[in-house]
Amino acid sequence: MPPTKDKSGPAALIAAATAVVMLVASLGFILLQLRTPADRFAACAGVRLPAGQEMGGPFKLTDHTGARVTDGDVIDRPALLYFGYTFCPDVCPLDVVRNADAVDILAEDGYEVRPVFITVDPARDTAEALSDYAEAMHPEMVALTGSEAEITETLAKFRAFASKQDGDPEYYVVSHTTLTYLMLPGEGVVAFFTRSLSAEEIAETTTCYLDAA
Amino acid sequence: MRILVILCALFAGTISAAGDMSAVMVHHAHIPASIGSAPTGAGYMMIMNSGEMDDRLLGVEADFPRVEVHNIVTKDGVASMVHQKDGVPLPPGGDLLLAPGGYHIMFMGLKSPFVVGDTVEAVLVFEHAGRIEVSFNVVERGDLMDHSNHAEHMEQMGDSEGMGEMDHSEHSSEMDHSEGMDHSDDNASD
Repeated sequence: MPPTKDKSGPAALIAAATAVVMLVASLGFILLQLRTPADRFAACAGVRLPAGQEMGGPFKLTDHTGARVTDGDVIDRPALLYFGYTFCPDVCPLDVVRNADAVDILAEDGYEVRPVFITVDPARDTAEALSDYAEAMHPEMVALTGSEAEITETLAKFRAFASKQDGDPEYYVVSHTTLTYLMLPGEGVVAFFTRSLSAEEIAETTTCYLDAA
Repeated sequence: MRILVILCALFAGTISAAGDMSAVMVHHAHIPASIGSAPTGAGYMMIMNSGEMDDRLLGVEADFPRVEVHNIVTKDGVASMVHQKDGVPLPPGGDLLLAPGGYHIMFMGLKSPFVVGDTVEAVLVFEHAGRIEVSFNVVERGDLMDHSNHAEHMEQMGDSEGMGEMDHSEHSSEMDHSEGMDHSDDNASD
């Protein structure tokens, strides 16, 4: 039956229905892409964020040279980011050294990744205190500090946790989460690693993400 | 009697117990080199109790503003350091491993960084064994991350009383910390 201009005709209905279906399908497709942006990383290991969840976010902190920097400044390349503090004698040094080793392995394979350290203890970890810690850890490392409020806010964005323990005003320790976050420029956190993983495992998984990005 | 004394001296290793021979032995006391001028450091070791009595590591004394025995406790992803104020038990015939991620001696208020090759003197205080002097060797930080192999290695070593002074530089490189890690590619990651 030839199409007519009669709106109540079945052909018009079919055309309208097709248009609606196509519109819904397009919207659905777009929404699907937005909801599950990590699908292109499907083949990679590591703990990916559940679809729709966000981790991390914009920040403005003070780096170990004393300069004010934003996340855009710091995450100018893929980054492995860790929350710790310099008074920590066991967990933090191990994790940060492991991350530095992962960065070195990646560099050998031609991937430039920046190790980043954000302090959970801004009272003691001033830019000056972080300066030689960062330099000793890795030449590309950026260590960040800020006001108590800025650090608290940044922790919350990354769903990380830190808590100063009651104790000596000078020698207090800080409990904290120990994840390492893999971040891509302009994308933020795409995966995170627990402290039980080795430098090799982190480098391998990161390679997968960088290849798929 | 002399032979007994000589044998005892041979088995004492780096340990000297004030007074009588102790059933408690300390092995491989070491501290990873400091990172920059970090204000704290961690000491690790293996303590073996070959006696028949329950003992307890009560604390440690060393020339630092503060030095304590700590344990890492992780709950819901949060790592906390817990000061072992009541000491740590050392059962008869058992051992106590101080290793990364677990029990450690926490040195606080460092006046200068721990440098590879340094030795740090300390006294471990036990409930029954009393005061035992220990010499920590400061070692390369290198690949200290995975000590699960280290613990196994120590168990395999078993009767290590005869080892005496341990040369840690050789020990570290001999030990296979990895599952397939290629050490020839090691980069200094400081």
